[in-house]
Amino acid sequence: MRLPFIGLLLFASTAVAQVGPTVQFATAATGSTNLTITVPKSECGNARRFTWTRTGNICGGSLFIYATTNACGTEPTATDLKLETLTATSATTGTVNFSVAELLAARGTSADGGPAATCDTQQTEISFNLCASARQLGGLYGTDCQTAYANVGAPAYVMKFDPVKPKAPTIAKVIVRDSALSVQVDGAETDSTVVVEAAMVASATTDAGTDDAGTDDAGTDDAGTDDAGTDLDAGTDLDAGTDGGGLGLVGALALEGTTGPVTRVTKASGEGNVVVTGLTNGVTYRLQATIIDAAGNVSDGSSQVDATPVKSNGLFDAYKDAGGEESGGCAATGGGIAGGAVLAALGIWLSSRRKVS
Amino acid sequence: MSSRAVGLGVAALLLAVPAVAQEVTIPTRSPRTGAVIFRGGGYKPRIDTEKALNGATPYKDTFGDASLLLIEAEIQRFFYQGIGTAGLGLGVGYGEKYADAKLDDGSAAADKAALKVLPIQLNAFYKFDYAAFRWGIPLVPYAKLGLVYSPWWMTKGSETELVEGDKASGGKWGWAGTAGVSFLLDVLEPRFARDFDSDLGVNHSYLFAEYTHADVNNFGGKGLNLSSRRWMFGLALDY
Repeated sequence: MRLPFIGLLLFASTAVAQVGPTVQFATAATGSTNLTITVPKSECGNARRFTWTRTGNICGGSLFIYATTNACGTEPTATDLKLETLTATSATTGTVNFSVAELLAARGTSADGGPAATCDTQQTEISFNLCASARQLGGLYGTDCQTAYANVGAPAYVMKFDPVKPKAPTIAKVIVRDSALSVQVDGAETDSTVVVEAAMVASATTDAGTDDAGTDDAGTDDAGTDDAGTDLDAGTDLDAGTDGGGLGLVGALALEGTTGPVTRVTKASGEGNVVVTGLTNGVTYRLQATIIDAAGNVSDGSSQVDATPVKSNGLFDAYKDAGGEESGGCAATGGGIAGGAVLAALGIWLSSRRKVS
Repeated sequence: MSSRAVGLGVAALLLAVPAVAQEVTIPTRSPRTGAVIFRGGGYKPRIDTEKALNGATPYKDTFGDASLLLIEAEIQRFFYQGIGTAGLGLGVGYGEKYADAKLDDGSAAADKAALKVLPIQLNAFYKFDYAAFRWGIPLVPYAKLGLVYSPWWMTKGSETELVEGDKASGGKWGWAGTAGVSFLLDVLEPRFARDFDSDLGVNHSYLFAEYTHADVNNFGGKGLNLSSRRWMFGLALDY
């Protein structure tokens, strides 16, 4: 009885010593809970960085770190992007950097992969799994190196390429307000961002766009064109239009026939109208809306709409127009705060007195 | 079971009933030291009576004849309880009124115009509740005289108005006198009233109506006139 027990103990200790390989991935490209990195078309060529740490013993060949559109757990194929090939003597930590462009290129390099897709030719969404595969230990005693590969990487990061830009929205309604325009934008998809840009419509005496706007005779125009001299700012939107950041893709290029700086307001879809504030009453502004989806793809611009904020009169306007002498302001409020503090102290005193039986 | 045993059991039960009755405590009144009051009513500031307006009516032009809905809470402390009750009270209220802002041609604009007030009042009061407690007459007349400070602000859209460099916010001092009458609810459900006292310490409950004459214009100073003449209605709880 004692002998079999000792033998079992010895086998067990051997099995414990032989641990199969595992790989732990980490990246700053996404949060700890969301393992999908969504890549817009504009960032197709940007590499994403992952760190890896391996533990356990590699047996019978290599441990592969790779990205594939297939499920993890096999030896990488020719259409997968092979990132690392590790042996028992390789480092136990390292980093891999790869972009969607490289992933697409790798898919087309095999005979059956067809022509390699590029960031421009890939027109549909495609997802790549970050994998680590290796042979596992097995057999009767857990010490035999298996022939089949298994998935040994975690967590299961996915790089999702979303090249599809949202449909262009429509400006359904513009509510004219005092020094502001409230814009109702339809057609925004869930989890997207609505962007509304506004710029002053160029008057007959001003040139549209970025040329000579600074030389406009602002002095003869109304308040709206007094800012014509700042058209240089609008000119910088040309640069914005050429960058790949997803922001500023419209701007002066899209808002044709406008002058002065472009006011840009963003709002999450489904949160109501976009209100562009700080506008000048009586000046006509040209509005255009775009949508930025969750991946960062920017839609085409909506049709442009012109609107003019108008002054409205609230009670204080009417009161002052009628000759009311109230000036309001901090002085009265300050006295009120002091008075209120005294009253509050009295209230506390009143309520804190002990009950008298 | 014999009839004798049943008879003994019935007798024991009958004896026990008075014993249980004797366990019931005789209701006692908790000390009465103050009151909490909640009231509401229409508040129409006398903005249009400002002399400098020369008969113009900006409030009426904006809000018509409508009043603000004013709600108030007040806490009172009793310092005298004899022939009636006297003490000090501190109240805070809030009222607001919205209407369409106007375009220059008088038509409605998309923006909303609003007047908001936050009146704070410290008052001395007397209520003649002697007759209610002594003779069971459930009506309690009362009067108050107090100091008022009323912060106010006017908005258009989502922002405080700014006209000719003057911001539409501030505060006004004034005074207010109030007369009213309360109806003692205890007479409707005396037992419930006693439970209310023993459980929560609320000695008496009242419904009341009161009329307030308030002059809130920095004691005759120039500028916005937030004075009013108003009826308010509410609930008062003595504790």
